[in-house]
Amino acid sequence: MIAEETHVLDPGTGWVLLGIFGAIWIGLGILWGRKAKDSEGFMLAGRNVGMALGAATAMATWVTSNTTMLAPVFALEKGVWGMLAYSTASFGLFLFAPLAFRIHKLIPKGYTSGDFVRLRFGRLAWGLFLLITLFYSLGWLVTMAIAGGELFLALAGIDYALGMSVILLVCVVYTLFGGLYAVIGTDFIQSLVILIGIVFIGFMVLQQVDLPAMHASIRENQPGLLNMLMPAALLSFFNNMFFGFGEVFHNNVWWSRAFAMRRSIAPKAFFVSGLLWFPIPIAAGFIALSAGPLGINIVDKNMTGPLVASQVMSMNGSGTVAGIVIFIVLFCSLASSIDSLLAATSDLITEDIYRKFLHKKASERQMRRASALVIIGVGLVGWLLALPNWPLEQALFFSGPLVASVIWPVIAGLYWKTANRHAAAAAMLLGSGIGLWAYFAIGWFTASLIGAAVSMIVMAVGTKLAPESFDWKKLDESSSAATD
Amino acid sequence: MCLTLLLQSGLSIEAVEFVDPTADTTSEDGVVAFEWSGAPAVAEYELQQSRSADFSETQTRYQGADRGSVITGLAEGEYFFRVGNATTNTWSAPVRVEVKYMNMTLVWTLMGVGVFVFGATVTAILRGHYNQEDAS
Repeated sequence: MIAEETHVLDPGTGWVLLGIFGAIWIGLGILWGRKAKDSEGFMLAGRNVGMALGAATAMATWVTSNTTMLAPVFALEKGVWGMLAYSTASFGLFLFAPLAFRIHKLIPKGYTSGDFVRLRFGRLAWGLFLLITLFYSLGWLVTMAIAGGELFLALAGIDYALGMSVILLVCVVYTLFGGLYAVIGTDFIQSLVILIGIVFIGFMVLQQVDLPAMHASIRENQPGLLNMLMPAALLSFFNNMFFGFGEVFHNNVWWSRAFAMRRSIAPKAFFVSGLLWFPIPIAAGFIALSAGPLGINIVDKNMTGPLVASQVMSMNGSGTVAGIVIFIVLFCSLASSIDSLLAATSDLITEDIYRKFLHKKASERQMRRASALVIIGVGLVGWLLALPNWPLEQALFFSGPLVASVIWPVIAGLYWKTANRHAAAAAMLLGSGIGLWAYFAIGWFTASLIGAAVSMIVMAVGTKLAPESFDWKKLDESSSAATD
Repeated sequence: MCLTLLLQSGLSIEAVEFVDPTADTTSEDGVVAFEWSGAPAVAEYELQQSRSADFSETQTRYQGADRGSVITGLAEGEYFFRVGNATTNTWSAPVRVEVKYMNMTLVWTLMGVGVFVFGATVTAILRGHYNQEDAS
C-alpha cells in the first residue's frame, strides 16, 4: 500500500451493510420473480413496464461504478471539460428515445439486439456484433465486480475477494429468481437511493468548500484544469460521447428495456432517464475538483471520488455517516448495473444462440432452465476473471472503438430500407480496427471518435454504392412472413 | 540537529527515491502519477515542484505519510519534482517532467470530425424518426 491505510468504516459495519442490502435485494428478487409466469415475463417483465419504473431502471443502469468512480477521475485530470465530457454519455439515452420507438414499431415481439442484427444484416454482421457485444458486456461486468471488491476494501477493509464475491453472488441470486422483474424493481429503489445519496454528498461537500478560494487554488496549482483548450480534454468530449452512443445503441441492456416498456412510454422514459443522469457526473466531478484546494492527496486516481467524498465529510465530523452513505450509494450503483448486465447478456445468449441455433423448439421450461444456467455461467465467468484483480479496465476502454463502430449499422439498419448488409459488417470491422489503431497511435481519447467516423463513412458509402431493398416484415419473427 | 542525532545514534538515513517515474518523462495532458520508496526514518514525506532544475523556488505539492501522489492540471512547460524530508533537507534525485500538449492542428481536425459525425448522427436519427417507413 502506498497510501496510509485508513478506512472510513470498520469491517463489521461494512459486513452488516452488505448483509442488509444483500438480503433486501434477494428478498425482493424472489418476491417479484413470482410475477414471471413464462420466459417472456422473465426476460422482458411482461412487456408492460410503465413510465416511473422505465425511467428509473434506465437511469440506475447508466449510473455504474464508472459514473461514480471514473467521472471524478475525468474532472481531476481534465477539469471542467472532463466533467462535461462524462455527462455527454447522457446524450446516448436522449438519442435512444426515438430509436426505442422505432424498435417497438419494427419488432414489437423482439427479444434482443442480436436478433435485430441477424435478421437485418445476416450472419456475418451478426457474428461480428456478438463478438463486440460479448467482449464489451463481459468487460463491463468484470470491471464492476472488481470495482466492488476494491471499494469495499477501501471503505471498510473488507477482503477484496470476499467483497467482490458477495456483490456478484447477491446480483446473480436475485436476477436468477426474479429475471427482469427483479432487475427493474430493484433498479427503481436503487435509483432513488443513488439520487438522494449524491445530492446529500454534494450538499455536504458544498458546505465545506469556499468556491472563490477553490477557484483561486486551482488557477494557481492546476491551471490546466481551467484551460478550455486542453487538447486531451477537448477530444475526450466527443470521444466519450461516441463511446456512450455505441454502448447504448448496441447493447442488449438497453434493447431489453425498450422491449420491456410499453411503446408509448419507451421514448419518454429514455429521455427522462437522460435528464436525471446528466447532472450526476458533474456533481461527482465537482467533488473531485475540490481535492487539490482542500489538500487531499490522491494516490490512486481510481479512488478519487470515494476518497474525497469521505475525507470532505470527515472534516465536518460526519465521517461514519459519510462512510455509510458512500457505501450504500456505491453498492446500489454497482448492483443496478451488474444485475442489468447479467439479465441482458443471458437473454442474448439464451435467445440468440440457444433458441436460434441449439434448440429451436425449446419449451418454456427449457428456456427458463437455459436462462438460469446462462445467468449462473455468466456470473461464474465474471467472478473467475475478477478474482485475480487484473487491471482489466483497459479491456473496457479498448471496447470504446468497438461499440462506436456499431452506432451507424444500428441507425442505418433501423431507418434505411436500402442499408447494405456487407457495408454493415465492413463498418463494424473497419471502425473497430482503425479505432483501435488510433487508441495506440494517437491516444485513447480519440479511439471512439475515429471508430464512429470510419463506421459512418463505410456504412454510408457502401449503401450508396450498393443499395439493397429490405423487407421490414422480416424483422418481425412473430409474423408468418419472417424468414431467417 | 536531527541529522546529527540520527548519525550519533548509529541510524543511517535511507534516501527516498522515486519508484515511478524514475527518469525524465513527458505528459500530454498535464497528469503525472508519482510513487516513491518508503524510508523507516521518515515519518512525513514532502513532494516539491519547481520550474528550475536547482529548485531555487519550490512549491510543496504534498506533505504527509503517503508514498505517492497524482499531480494533475499542469500547464505546458518544464517542471522538476523531488521527494524527501524537508526537516533534514534530504532529497531524492529530481525528475524532470515536460508537459507538451498535442498538436492543435490535429486537435481541431479531430474536433471538426467530431462535430460532423455528431451532426450526421443526430440528423440521421431525427430524419429517420420523422420520415419513418412503415413495416406494414
